[in-house]
Amino acid sequence: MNRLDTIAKYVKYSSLALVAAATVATAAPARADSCQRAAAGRQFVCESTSQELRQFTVEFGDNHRVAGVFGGAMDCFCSSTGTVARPRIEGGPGITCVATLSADDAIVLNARFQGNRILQGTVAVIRPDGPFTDPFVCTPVQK
Amino acid sequence: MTTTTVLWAATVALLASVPVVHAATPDCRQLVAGESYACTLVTASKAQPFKLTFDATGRTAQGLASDFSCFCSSTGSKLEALENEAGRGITCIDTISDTVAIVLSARATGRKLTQGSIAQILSTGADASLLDCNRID
Repeated sequence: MNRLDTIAKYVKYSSLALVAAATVATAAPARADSCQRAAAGRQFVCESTSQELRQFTVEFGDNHRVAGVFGGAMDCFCSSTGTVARPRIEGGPGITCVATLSADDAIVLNARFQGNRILQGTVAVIRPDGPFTDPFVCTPVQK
Repeated sequence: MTTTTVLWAATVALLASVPVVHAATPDCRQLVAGESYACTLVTASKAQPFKLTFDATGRTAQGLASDFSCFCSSTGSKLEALENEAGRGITCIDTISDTVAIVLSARATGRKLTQGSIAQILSTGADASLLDCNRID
């Protein structure tokens, strides 16, 4: 199964997940800092040098917890800052989004918010023989 | 030609003659390969220590009874300058089922994994905690 097959499988089975995740997003309160604020309610156009991906959109829900990517829903969380003694859980600018497909397959996005852009992005298709990765950068869609 | 102009021209010429050296920056795999870390998972109510050990390539890691598959962040702020997995950010995932996974994300430095989060991905969403790791020498 190649990367596009994996993403196609993800899109096929993600409609219900999108509905369920949207419900969770509504229930969880957003914190006004870090990637949570940068992501909430925003849409981005992302570009990759990969011939298979080229361009895709990332659309966050009312908070950072859910992102619509490749036509499906991904669960997201922010990087943390602080220390063991004084943790700031999810207080950082990094964001990781995950869609699990099976015990062997998943799609993972990892990147950092910088200004109004998303940089240092890597999208990985996780398979038993290892991750297949491509780089990406994103710019916000002006509404 | 004034003295200032001469000095300026000399400075520009000197700078132009200096070879540009691009120091090779290690990616996340080079920094964690073969290393073990003493990590702490911190939630709002508790701290749980555990050991995280990377294989010799930095592509896999073991810890918290999970076998993780890892990849690095990328670099470059423009499409034409992107370098795949050339950054210090590291993300590792253990997919457990079609709805469950454990994912950790951090930045590799010389001796630490900083700005880390570790999350359980469940059918109800992601539940994240702080991840703090120090290299074991």
